[in-house]
Amino acid sequence: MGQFIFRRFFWMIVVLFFISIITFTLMRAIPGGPFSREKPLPEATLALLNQKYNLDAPLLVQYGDYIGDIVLPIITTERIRPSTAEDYLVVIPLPFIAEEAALRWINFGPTYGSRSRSVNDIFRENLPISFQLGVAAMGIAMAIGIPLGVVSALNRNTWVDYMGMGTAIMGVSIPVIITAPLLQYVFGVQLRALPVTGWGTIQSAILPAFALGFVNAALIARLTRASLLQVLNEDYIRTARAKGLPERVVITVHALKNSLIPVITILGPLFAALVTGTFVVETIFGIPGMGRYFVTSITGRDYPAIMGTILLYAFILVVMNLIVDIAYAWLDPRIRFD
Amino acid sequence: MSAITHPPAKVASLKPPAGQSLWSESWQRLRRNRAALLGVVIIVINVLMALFAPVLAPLPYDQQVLQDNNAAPLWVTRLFPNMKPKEEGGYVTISDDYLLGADKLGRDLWSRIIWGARVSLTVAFIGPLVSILVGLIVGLIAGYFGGWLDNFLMRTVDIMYAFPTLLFIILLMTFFRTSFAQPEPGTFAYSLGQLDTASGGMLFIFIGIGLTSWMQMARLVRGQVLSQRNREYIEAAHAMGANTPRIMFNHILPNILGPLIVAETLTIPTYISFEAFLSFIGLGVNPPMPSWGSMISDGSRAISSYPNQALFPAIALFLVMFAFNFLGDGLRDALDPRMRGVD
Repeated sequence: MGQFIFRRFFWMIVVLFFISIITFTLMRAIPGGPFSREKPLPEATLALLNQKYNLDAPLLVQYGDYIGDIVLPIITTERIRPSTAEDYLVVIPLPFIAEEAALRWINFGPTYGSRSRSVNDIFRENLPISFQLGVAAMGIAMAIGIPLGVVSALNRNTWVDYMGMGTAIMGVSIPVIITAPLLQYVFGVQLRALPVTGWGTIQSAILPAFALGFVNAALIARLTRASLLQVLNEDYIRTARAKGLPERVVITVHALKNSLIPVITILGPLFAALVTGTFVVETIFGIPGMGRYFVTSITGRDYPAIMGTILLYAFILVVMNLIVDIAYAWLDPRIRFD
Repeated sequence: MSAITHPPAKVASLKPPAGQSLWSESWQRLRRNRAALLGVVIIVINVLMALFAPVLAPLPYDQQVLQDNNAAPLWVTRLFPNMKPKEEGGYVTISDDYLLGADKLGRDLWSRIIWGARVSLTVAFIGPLVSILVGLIVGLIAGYFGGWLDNFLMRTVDIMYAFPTLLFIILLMTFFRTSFAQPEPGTFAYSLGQLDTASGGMLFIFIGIGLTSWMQMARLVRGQVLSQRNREYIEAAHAMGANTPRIMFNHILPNILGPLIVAETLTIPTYISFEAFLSFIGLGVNPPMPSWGSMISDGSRAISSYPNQALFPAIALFLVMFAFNFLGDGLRDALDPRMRGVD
């Protein structure tokens, strides 16, 4: 098990390395730079700006510096003047070395989009919003999806099942860009029950979370149903019934627990997808999360912001997958790693 | 041993009894599935709409009548009670020239929805082709040859999988849209850019979809190939001197086609929503070419005052995605009856 985790962890780093290379190449291949304007800047200004942001160095050096700033922790002994170029996510004070000494780690660099903010600032301010939205959507998806799947499976091939799975197919068919305006119209415009756009109150989070959670509720419902049906056909369920257990116990204790294993294993990737999927919802509902920031950072050739966002999300994705694999082994002892 | 237990190899001239082939049997099953048939009907209607858009659309999709901006017919204002006509003290210009109303530039919504079917359906049919083509080649090679080639290809798939798809495609589309905007005439980039302009911006959407969606196909194909590779009929083909491409395409491919078709049909809605999403954030088709995604995007900005502008294209998009989902589910039941009701 330990060896397995170690191997996966190593592979994770390889994946992230390749992703950073591909992103870097692609990003730099886009014509235009962060300081290209309709009316070109004076050459001296441009040279200074390029120098300030290390853009006059060879590409390979730029890449190396960038990755180095993120990956390598540094120990500083003096106080660092707060600046956008030297903003570290992790700062651990080391008072036993020197009074101001600290271990500093993970610096995503400055953003070109704003003079007073670093990419870390963007993560600190906007990521929690996307994250909250993702968590809320996930909660809704599970709260709707699992019961729907269980009820459908227990009433297999009756009208309840057809209704449930009809809803699920509908849920899968409707992309967020349809659900969102629909919800806005019904609850925001017609019923005036909830705000159409904005962020900050619980009420304003309900519609976007539902819009995002609905599709995944449908996915979870279908998976739960399929897996529960499969489990109900197993021999040990027959045994449980044969020894006279009440149906309620058979379902909840014997069947449900095992049938939820595949469901739990998709929750990881699903959550990662939700957090990245908030992009559309954020645009429609005017939520100041990561999504809106990403699109503007690409059009503005904000290299550190683009790189940072993609790396961060890729990191979330691979970590989620790793957790899922470990959870899988933990939940189902029959699975062996070799 | 296997030589003894085997039935004699089928002679080519021996015809299967009529109507008993796997495909015709599947077709029989599909025809009995009412939901799938409904899906087929909706898709056919949309295909006709897309094909005959110039005839069916009452107005040109890019004709702007500025004094009719945001106009709506009377029945639409009855459907959406908050859209009060000007005559009743509201703000909506009533005009019966437009079946579903006009957008903020005074373009006919109904005509734009009809033309928009072209984009969505082209994506629905070409998207799978691109993804199958790439996925098939990668999957066949990886599964058939195995070894380091398999390892290399599958690790590539793993890496691509870890890419946050939406972010990647945004980056990719920006790259395409700006790199090929004004290249030198006569170069490859130029002809590609021209081709894209000619297709209304759809070429790069296909490339973008292809680059981000082949991985799943490749995995599926590889798995299927692995399950077939050591079967006796492959051994027989080898023994009869068939070469590698022949075994791959004439022997293995027909036997794994069923699951591939099902998987692709079920992914079509994803492609459609991909395009809609790209158009939604302004990286999709070139304006004024209408796409349901861009119409929803434009409309959702005015959702409080003119809900019809977002909801009608949303319904069109919904119907098509619904249809493909039903068809995909039906196909799965038809092609692989063992799977019925399991997922």
